[in-house]
Amino acid sequence: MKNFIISLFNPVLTWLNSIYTNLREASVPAARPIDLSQYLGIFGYLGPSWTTFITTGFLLGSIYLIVYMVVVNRGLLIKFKDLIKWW
Amino acid sequence: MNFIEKIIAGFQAVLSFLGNIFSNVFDFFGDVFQKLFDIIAKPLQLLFDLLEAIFFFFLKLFEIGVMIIKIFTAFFQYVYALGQGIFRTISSWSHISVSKGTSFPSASGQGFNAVIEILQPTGLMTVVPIVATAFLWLFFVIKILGLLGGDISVSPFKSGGGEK
Repeated sequence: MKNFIISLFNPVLTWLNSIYTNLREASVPAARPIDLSQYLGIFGYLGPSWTTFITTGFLLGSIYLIVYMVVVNRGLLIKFKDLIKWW
Repeated sequence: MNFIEKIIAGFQAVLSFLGNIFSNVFDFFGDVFQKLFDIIAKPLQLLFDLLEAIFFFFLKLFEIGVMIIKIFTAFFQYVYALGQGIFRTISSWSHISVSKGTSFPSASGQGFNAVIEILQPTGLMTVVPIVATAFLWLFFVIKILGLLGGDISVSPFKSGGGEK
């Protein structure tokens, strides 16, 4: 009886276990950032002025993206505030 | 003396008689219970096996539930790690460094250097990028202001002024 139940559940359990381990292993490389500096070394040939142009572009782009995220999620922030007020 | 001994012997006889009776009774009940247990043992064993199987089944179900919960936590960790990676990538754009010397193969490196030397007096390497940087600043300032303003739409590189 016990062996029958084990044979019934073990495939499911091993499958779930493999999903779990794969997810655990995948979350470590997902948290690593992409270092774009390693791909932009070629533009060093163009001199310091073009370099400042490129770095300024990336800096402003990152600022724009962060502001964009804040503005897009403004409704969420307001909802959170309302929740705290109600509480 | 003789009389007392007789009385004691009588008591002993009575006691032994009672003892025999009780031992017989106990033996009888012991036999009965033994038979009863022998009869009951088989179905009890079956019942015990059934109960064990049912509880083992529930144990396995519980294990699967725990596994599913663990998978969900791992999934949320994965989503969180993904968001963290994206955020770290975006924040690493704010301090990017281009000056990592790439070494071309010799012939193409010489070609690049020659082209750059030719372009040096035309201002393509100095003046144009500075102007382009200024336009970049202007573009992003207008874009971010438009973003913060909400329904203000600014198009910086159209013929300005008149229409809208």
